[in-house]
Amino acid sequence: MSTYNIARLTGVLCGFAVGIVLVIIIAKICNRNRKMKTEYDERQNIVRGNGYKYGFYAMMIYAALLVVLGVAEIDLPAESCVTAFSIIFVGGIVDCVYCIWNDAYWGLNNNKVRYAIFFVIAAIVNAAAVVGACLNHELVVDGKLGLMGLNLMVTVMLMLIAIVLGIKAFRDKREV
Amino acid sequence: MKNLRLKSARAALDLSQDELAKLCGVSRQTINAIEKGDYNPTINLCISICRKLHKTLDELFWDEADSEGT
Repeated sequence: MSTYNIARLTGVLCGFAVGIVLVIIIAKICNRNRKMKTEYDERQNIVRGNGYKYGFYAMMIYAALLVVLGVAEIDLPAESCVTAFSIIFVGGIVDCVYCIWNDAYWGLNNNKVRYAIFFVIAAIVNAAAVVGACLNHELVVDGKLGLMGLNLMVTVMLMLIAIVLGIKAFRDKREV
Repeated sequence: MKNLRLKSARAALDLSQDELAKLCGVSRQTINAIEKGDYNPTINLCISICRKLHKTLDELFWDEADSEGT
């Protein structure tokens, strides 16, 4: 393993560690009762169970598709880490959209405004990283979407969640 | 099938869906789903709702039409 790869791996692992700490802090700040765990009622737990199920199916189908592409030796225009993350991305999006649409995304003890603020901050930070990578020509390296593709996917994911939340809120207002 | 008895019992106490939801420790959408007949609550939640609305399980959740057929 070259020094560059060791440095890169260390950077990614540090990023994960910081991410985990941030998630714990954000959960504590954003939940009304200062508990880390978000609480859901019985209907929401059932919906969330279905959401995980559909997310899992989506991941399986997408992973199978990647296997087929791999067997066919079709080279994807993305680094392997980006392709691997895209599997999480697909499953996560399916789960989130299903839960939002069935009113099981927000828990009983969530402060929606605080969460929304952190979502916006996270989206801006990731979008800034993508823009920076674009300006430095680091987003696509040798014709392949590089490590910064992870930030791009997180930005897209957060934007998709925001759009679906907006559509759902608009639909609910019209129903009332 | 819509649960109009629950809706009228709640309205009789001048409670909003949100207020009843908070009393029962569930989300407003769950109360809405029960009233619309989109969700069948567990017996624990039925009891909790009945206690908050000062009603019996029969008054709110027993379906006479269904029981006559059996």
